[in-house]
Parts: sequence; structure tokens; C-alpha cells
Amino acid sequence: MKIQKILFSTKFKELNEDSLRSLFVLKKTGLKQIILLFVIPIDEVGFVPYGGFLKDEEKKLRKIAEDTLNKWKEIIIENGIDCKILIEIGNLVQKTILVAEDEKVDIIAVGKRKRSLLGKFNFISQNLVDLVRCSKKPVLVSKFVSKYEYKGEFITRLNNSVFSNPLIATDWSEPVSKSLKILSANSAVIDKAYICHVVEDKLIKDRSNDEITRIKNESIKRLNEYSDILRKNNIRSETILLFGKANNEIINISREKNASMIMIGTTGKDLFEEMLLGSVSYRIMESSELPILMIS
Amino acid sequence: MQEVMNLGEMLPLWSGIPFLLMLLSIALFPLILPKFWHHNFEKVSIFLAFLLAIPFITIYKGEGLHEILHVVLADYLPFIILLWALYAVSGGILLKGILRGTPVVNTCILIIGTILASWMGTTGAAMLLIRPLIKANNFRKNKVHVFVFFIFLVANMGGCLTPLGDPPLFMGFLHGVSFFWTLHLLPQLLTGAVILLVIFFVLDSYYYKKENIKPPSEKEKRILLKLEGTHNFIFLAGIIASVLLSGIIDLGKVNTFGVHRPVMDWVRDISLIVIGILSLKTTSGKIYRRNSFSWAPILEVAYLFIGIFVTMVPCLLMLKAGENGAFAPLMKVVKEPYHYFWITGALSSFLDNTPTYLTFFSSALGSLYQGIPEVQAVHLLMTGGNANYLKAISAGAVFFGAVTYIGNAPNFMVRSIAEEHGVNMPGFLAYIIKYSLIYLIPTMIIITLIFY
Repeated sequence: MKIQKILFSTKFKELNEDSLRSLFVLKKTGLKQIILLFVIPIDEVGFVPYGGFLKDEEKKLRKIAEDTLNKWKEIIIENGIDCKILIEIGNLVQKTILVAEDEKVDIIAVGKRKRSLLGKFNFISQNLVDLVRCSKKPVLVSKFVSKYEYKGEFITRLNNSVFSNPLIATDWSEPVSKSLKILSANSAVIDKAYICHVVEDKLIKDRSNDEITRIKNESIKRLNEYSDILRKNNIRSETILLFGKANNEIINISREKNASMIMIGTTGKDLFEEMLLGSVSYRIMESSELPILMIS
Repeated sequence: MQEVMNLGEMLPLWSGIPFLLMLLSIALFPLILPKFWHHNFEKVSIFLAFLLAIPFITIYKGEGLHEILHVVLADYLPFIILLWALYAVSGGILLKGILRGTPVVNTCILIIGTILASWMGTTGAAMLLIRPLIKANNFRKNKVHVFVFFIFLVANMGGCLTPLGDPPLFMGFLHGVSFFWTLHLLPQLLTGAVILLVIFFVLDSYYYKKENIKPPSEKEKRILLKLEGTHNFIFLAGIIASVLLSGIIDLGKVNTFGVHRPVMDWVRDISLIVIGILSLKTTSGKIYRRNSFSWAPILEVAYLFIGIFVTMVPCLLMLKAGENGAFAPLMKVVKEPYHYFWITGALSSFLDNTPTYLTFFSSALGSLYQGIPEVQAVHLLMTGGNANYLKAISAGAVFFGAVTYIGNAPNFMVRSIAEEHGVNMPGFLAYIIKYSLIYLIPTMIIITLIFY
């Protein structure tokens, strides 16, 4: 699955020009068009109780969007990629998904809320959760500059080479085959890929050694099968089997291997389950400093 | 009941000031300070509700508290639950396809909308059809009149036949008007709708001919209509059944915080919530996205109407007190059905039609059946020789809601969506002068001459 068309849905503050530039590398593998989408929130301009629509406010927001998007368009075209600007009014998530469907884009790129002042957690916005939950297209959560604490040190990371060392985190569910297809079709920009699986503690608790060995062997076999697929597409890869708590282990290994991006599947749970019961993919999206490609 | 009437007789006229401020806020803020209003309307509404509630409870203690709890539990709560359920269910129905906005097609959409409005609410019908109508008329130069007549017919008049159609009628239902009684308004609706549809067709044909626009491409010209989320019609039937049964079955009353409500009212409210949740759970997210579904309009109504319902408590009590209350001079002037039709209508044009309906509904009860308990008085109003009064109040509230953008909640939603899609809708005054005074008011005069 070549990435030929990207929908870049922006709120300006969250996804800056640098994030946009980090996608240009995909031109090598066939990126043809970037669609820049800005959604004027309907709450800002519409449904004024008994009043209708704030036309002047809409014009003002449209003008600001046009100025910024036109500058970005010039940069994109200078880099030999076609560009289209769309300014819509409505709900950010609804419009992003509709435009992605109508324009038949390959991935959606979106921004991420900045780290909280407390510095401890990276809170993801509700819009992002909704988008990932509802989108059938892969969603790239871009984080050009990330600050995080690792082994007692505060580190600032620039994610300017998103596709060079992707880490696929798999729980054996369907999205992994999509991840492999994406990497295979874009091998020219990949230096080395990592494929990891975490055997959760709770899965092996109270199991016999024989059973644990069986699970381990089966997991290694599956990981090797994935690795073979990448090798056939000229992508160097390394398989990693881990034991522990999935989100912690995935984040730790991504740091240890200096991965450039984490690719992970979403479970398709509903909002209630996702938020209340938690999900590995959402926790990683929330707490990792790396760009995340969420695949449904 | 005696205590209630006494309170109504005791209340001074100025106790209606918070209600007046609430209505003036709705009427003036969107025109004068739209941005402030957009971001602060809920604070204004809650503030005014407290402005009434705190002194009212302080002065009248238990009785004051009871009146406010009664209006919240017996009027506001079911009102907002019904609107929410209708909004949720109708938002799950999507009309897909390419229509071409010719005069015939536009007229057909208006007819369908007018019919649907009584069964899925004016808001539901308007939300279902407004986007296909906008899409169908994209190629038209002169199309403002299409959306104005849509407001006249679909967002207002069409909703007059059942309590589901328009909120004022549901308030009547909650106060004892039977579900099918409103079907008595069919002759008035047919008269008004036929007049307006004929005018619309002539007007639209004139503009269509004048525009002389080349037809859209062959692909666009094909009419491929498809309804998605049709299972929501089952939920719609469930809503109708829930409301209908709550008016038929009597399982006694239950005391909630001192407010005696029929058990069936609670059953209805809970059923409506369950129906709404089932609809949301079983409808594809794709449909909501294509409908640009948002909870914003219903939240706005919820915030505004808590202010309206609480602040209107003294006014309703004074009106129910009839000629013994502070509104005695008004009672002496408003005597005939046509008086009620026009005064309910005139106020519904500039104030929201739900409180206006309740005001004159109470006024009629106070004037015609002073001292008689509400249940009996409403029964007499429906079945006795005074039924024309109720028809006049009902039709006045529903029909005149279309005279201005602020007469009925769906009006501003239609305006907002049309403007969002680039339709240059007329301003507040232009809408009245260029459309309501020319087309709607003469229609109302004809209805008065025939029926009242």
C-alpha cells in the first residue's frame, strides 16, 4: 500500500510546518498529493441560539487559514508534490473522516496536544481519540518535537525522520498485515524495521513452564513470518519478543532501539471501552514521544 | 389546586420581570451582541433562572419550591427528553442522492417535509431534508426563497398535527390535551400549506425561468435517492407509541420530591431515553458524519429552556388566576378565539412559541374556567363549545413561529446550516419585511377569516 495521497488535517498550533516537511520524504516512494484541511469549528461560528451564523467570524477564520495554508502549499509544491487546500466548516473529526473518504487518501496526518504543564503525561485530545476510533484510514499522529523523561534525564527529541526505523507493535490482530503492506510498499525510505510482540504477564500467570515455552515458540515463529515478508521486500528487520506490561514494554523497546515511529493497531472498541478499560494503542499514543501510526 | 390559585392571585406583576428579561435576551442578544450571546447564553439563562428562583423560594418557601420543582419535573424534563429523542433518532436517518432543485422537486421536498414534521418533529424533519435541499439547489442563483418557505412549512406549520410536531403542542399534551386532538388543526394546515405551496411554486418557477441556467451534467441530473438508517423509523414509531400510551394508560401517580406525576409519564420518559440510546448505538457513525450531526443545537435548547421554564412560573400562575390575578386587564381584552390566534401568534413571532403557548393556554383556562382544576378545565376546553380557543392558541403558536428567525428553534438551525453552505439568507428584518409580511401574514389573515 503506497502512500500516494495524504490528508494533513491541521489546527496550526498542533501540527506545524516541520511536521509537514517530515512527510516529504515519501515522495521517493510515490507520494503525489498532500491535501491540507482546516476545519472551522462549527461551535465557533454556527448555531448561535436563535441567531444563525456568525458570518464575519467565519470570514476572519477563513482568511487566517487561507494565509497559512497558502504558504504551506507553496512549500509543498516547491518539493515537487501536488497540493490541494480545503477549508470546511463543521466538526473536526467528522469533516476529516468525510474528506478522507471522499478524496480517497491513503493516510490521515494529524497533530497531537502538547505535553501538559506537569510534564508527566502527554494527554491526547478527545478529537484525536474520536478520529482514531472512527477512521478506517491509518492515522499518523505527528509529534515533531517531543520532550520526555528517560532514565532520569529530560530529553528533547526531533522526529524529523519518521519512516526510517518504524517499530511494529503487534498483538497478532488484523492491522499487522496492513502495517506490513505499508512498510513493504514504502521500503525505499526505511532503514530498518522492528517487529515486537509483548506477552502480557497476565497471560502466563499460573501457567506451566511447558505452556510458557509453547507460547514463546509460537510467538517467535509468527514474528519470523512477519520478518520474512519484510525481507522479501528488501527491508532489514529485527524481531523482538517481550514479557511484561504491553504499553511499558513497547515504549521501552522503542527508546532502546531508537525507533522513529510506532505502528500499532486499534482494537475497534467503542469509546466507553477505550476510555474506561484502557487500550494499549491509546496509552502508547498518549505517552510515547514518537509519532504513532494508528492502523484500524 | 386552591393553594396554587391563591399564589397566582398574590403574585405581583413585576415577578414576571425575569421571564421578560429571558425573552428579551433571546430576542435581542442574537441581533445586538451575537458573539457574546453565542459564548454566554447558557450563563445568562442559568443566571435568570436563579434570579427568579432564589427570591421566589425565599418568599413563598415550600409552595414556591414546589412550583419550581413541578415545572422542572413535569414540564421541562419531559420536554427536553422528547426533543432529545426525536433529535437523536432523526439524526440517524440520511437522505442520500442527487436531486435537481427544479420548482417541482423543491415543491415536493416541501410537501414531504410538511407531512413528516408532525411525526418526527419540525426539528427532525428540517434536519433530515435541509442538506439534500441545499445540495439540490447548489446550481441555482435565486434560492433564498426556497429556504424561507422551508422554514415556513417544514420548520413550523407542518408540525401542527401531533404533540410530537412542535414543542408547544407537546406542552399542551403534558397538560392534558389528548394526542389526537391536534389533528383538528388539519383544515387550518391544509389551507395555509396549499396557499404557501402555490405561492412558492409560482415564485420558484419564475426565478427558475429567469435564471435560464444550463442543466447540470448528465451524471448530476440523475435522481438517485436513497434513505440510510431506515431502521430509525422503527424507533420513531417507538417514540410515537411511548407518547401516545402515556396519554392513554393510567397507572396512578407517583410522588417525586413532592411533585405528583403519573407513573406513565416516567415510563414514557425512560422509554424515550432508551429509544434514543438504542438509535445511537445501532446507527452507523457514517450516517451521523454525513448529516454533520452535532449535539450543539439540543444543548442550546436545554440550557435556554431551563431559564425559560423557571422564569415563567409566576407568569403562568398569574394567568391561571384569571381576572383575580395581576394579568386581569389582559384577560378582559383577550376574549375571542381570533384574539387568541393573533396574540399567541404575534408573541410567538418574537418570543419562542413554547412559553407563549403555555402562557395563553393558561390564560384561556383562567379566563374560561376560573377555579376549575386544570385536568377538568382542559377536558372542557377540548370537548366543549370552546374548542376553537384551543385551536386558535395551538395554530397561533405553531404557524406564527415562522414569522421571524427567533419564533421557533429550528428556524435558526435552518438559517445557520444554509448560511454555512453559502446561501445568503436574509437578515432578521429583511426576512420579516421581504417574506413574512408579504407571504405569511396574508395567509394567516385568510386562515382567520375562514376559521376564527
